[in-house]
Amino acid sequence: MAFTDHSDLFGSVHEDGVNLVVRHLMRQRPSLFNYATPAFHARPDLFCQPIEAAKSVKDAGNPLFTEQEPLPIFGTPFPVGINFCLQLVDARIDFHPQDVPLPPELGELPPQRFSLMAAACAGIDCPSEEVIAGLLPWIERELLAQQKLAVGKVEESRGGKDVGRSQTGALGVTGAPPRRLVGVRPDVALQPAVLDERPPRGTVVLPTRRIECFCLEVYTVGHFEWGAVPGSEQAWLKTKLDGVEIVDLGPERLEASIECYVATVLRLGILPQVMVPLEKLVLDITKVLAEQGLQVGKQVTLGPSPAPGDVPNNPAVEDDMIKAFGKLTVTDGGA
Amino acid sequence: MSHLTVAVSEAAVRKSVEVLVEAVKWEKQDSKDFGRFSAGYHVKGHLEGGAVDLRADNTIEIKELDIKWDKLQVTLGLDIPEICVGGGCINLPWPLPDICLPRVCVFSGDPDISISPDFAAFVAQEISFIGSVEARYFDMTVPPPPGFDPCGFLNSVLSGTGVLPDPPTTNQWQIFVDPETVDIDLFDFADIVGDLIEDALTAAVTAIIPGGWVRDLVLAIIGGIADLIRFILDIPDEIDEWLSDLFNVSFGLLDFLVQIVLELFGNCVPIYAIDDPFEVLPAKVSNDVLLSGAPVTLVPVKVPIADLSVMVDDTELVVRADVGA
Amino acid sequence: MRTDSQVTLNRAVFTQTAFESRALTVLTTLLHRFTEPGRYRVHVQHPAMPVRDLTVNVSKDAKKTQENIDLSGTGDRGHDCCCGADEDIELAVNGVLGLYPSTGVGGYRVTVSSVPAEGTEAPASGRDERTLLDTEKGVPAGDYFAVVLTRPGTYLLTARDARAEVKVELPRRERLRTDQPTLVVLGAEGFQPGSVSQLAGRALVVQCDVDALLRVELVEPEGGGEREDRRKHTYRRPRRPGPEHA
Repeated sequence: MAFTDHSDLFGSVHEDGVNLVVRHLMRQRPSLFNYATPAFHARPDLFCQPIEAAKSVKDAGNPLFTEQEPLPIFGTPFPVGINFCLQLVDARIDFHPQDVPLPPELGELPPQRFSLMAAACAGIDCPSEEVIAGLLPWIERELLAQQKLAVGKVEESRGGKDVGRSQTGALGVTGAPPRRLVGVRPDVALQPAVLDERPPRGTVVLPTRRIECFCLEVYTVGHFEWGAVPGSEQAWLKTKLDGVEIVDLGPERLEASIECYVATVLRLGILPQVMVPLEKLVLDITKVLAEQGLQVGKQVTLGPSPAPGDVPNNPAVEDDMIKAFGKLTVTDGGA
Repeated sequence: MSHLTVAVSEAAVRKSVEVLVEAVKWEKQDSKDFGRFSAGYHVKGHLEGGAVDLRADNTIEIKELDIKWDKLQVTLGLDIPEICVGGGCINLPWPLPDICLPRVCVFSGDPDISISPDFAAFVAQEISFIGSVEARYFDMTVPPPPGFDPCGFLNSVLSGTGVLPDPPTTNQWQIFVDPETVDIDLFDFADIVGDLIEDALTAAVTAIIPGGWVRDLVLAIIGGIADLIRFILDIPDEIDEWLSDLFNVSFGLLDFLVQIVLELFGNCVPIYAIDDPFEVLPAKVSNDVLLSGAPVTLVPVKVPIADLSVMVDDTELVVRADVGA
Repeated sequence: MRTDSQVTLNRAVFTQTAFESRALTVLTTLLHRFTEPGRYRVHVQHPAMPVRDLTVNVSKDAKKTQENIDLSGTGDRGHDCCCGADEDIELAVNGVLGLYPSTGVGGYRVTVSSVPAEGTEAPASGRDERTLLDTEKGVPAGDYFAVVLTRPGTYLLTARDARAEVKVELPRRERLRTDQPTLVVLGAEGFQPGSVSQLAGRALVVQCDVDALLRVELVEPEGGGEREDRRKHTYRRPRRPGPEHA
């Protein structure tokens, strides 16, 4: 049986090829897979997993991750945040038939579906006692100044006591509210910041010495389908999500919430960026023909073969491959 | 199992070849001096039709490709030999030497005449070839071999712009149909073409000779225009056969046509090409990567293509490749 | 591709219908034989051209037996000559000098005179001690007068009191060779033969055994005097205003 019994063009990509493409994608577009506060520019060693970037990325000075606002500390009289990072460190696809075991919640991989195993790691700064102790007097003083105390209004003048440097390290409190804190702002990575009598402007990011990391394995099941993209005339291959399961996370409600969040991120954040037209994914036939088409006045278009009219599934996920069937149309009156 | 497999049906290959074939137009002119006469040509042509057949032996046959001539003009220039009266000698008795009379010529100088009939409507030709499909790697870092530049040759004879794609600016896997055998019809002119040439030459010669008895005298001297033309052109038999030989052999137009096909398909215009590395995601200017919103140009994501191969059977053309590590 | 060369028809070849030995025109040739060694001057005159002189040296040592001079050219002596225009012509004793105009209109008068020179013998005989030939006066005995007759028809050849009819025809089918002249001898008794028939384009050569002025004239063209068609434009001068008559 020939590949093109029911179409003009057949293209298939084996799961091994896709996984290699994903690896290239992770190395050449790392900002799609790594998210962190700006502090990590200065301390990439704090990432849960080192980021492997291609030379072209480094040569171009591309950021290795997408910057995020620090996690806010609620209730403080002025904005205070802590550093964090979120990384997708591994991703592997498995086209039907199933090769990679799935969590029981997802069951067996149905026909025409694929699974994606992704290992995600997240790390959140856990401020040390020193840092909290050093910052607390300032919190208290600012609360007093702003008259946000639970006991009501208190008549007392501001300041007057010395704040000295710690004799033990980066942070030190000598029994009085500190005048100098080691703080971090989003644009001032892990640099000492001086707090004077005035309340700080912007978010005070707490200094980070250590990131508490945890990793989760996320399994997703999805399928491919053709769809339109506003502003484009050609058909695009889109990846649609059928299910998400995070392994070994509890309690159940938390797991469900996080799974929902991950699914939302994938649906709205990641997957739309990796949709591709058929000819890009398989072989750039249109590019070659279109160049000649422009010259000869022919319009050469490549579209998906109708399913289930011409072929049962298009694209088809089977035989450890994704298969696409295309229809080549040559008409007069091209550009 | 290859990472990537692309199969193109015979119908799709046919459409692709049709697009390419219809883009091919050429123009050429030249002339040669054969001594007593000169011959030149100015030809313009294009290809039409053609049937594509994928064969089980890893070859593609493109047959019955019509060579359509938009212009097939031959220019014939004849040097009319001297036409003189008088001359000859009178034998006188010894010891007187013979006396010889001067000749007086009809024209001052050797008259040349030329005609430029166009035989485009009278010639129908077909070309067919069988080519093996080949995958080749175009390496930007390797300079082209010195000597004959086939695509430069094509650029010089193919008329109309853009038949040949620009040279690639990146490494590329290219798939060619490299012609192994090319069959082309010989130029075959109908009998009527011979008559046309003879009539045109006769008219041209006649035009330079006054009418009446003068023409009769001149024609008597040169032995008739038809004989004169055949003598000058050294035509052994029929003019149409002679003309065919002129186009086929003397002008080398058959070689020219074969060369167009050989270089076009075999070297200059791949039926498919894919860049290596292949761009999966284009470069992108993003304002979302940095919190400040400052634009960042993200480099394109490219995937190396390895071990590209191509094969043909009687139903489809299949290209396989792996994604490089 | 070559461009067609400019071709000019030698119209006189087809328009000349009367020929005289007194004035050499296109298609006529006077052949003078030098029987004595010596140095000779050939003087050529034409109403519309400069006078031209040629020198002929006749000697027993010279090997050339004939030289043809195109009077309308600049000393052309035929295709095999390498000499310049004014160089002497070397001829053997009994050698012949052919004089003919190949193009142009009007007649040439030619005189041939002996030139006494140191170390050369003077002509031993002749009617005139110095002038051997003057076309105005006639063709001397021993010389030849040739005319190429191109137009088919009947010609009359006259000299002294002699007459001969010359019929000129086009060949029927065969290719015409023009290099086959016809010889007629003019003696005291007249022309021999008395009538001649030849093909057009060929020369009629009259061997003059007596001095004579010769004339050949078309008297009856074949086809009744067909003329070439010529495009004509007639200009008419406007009538001048004159005195009005009542």
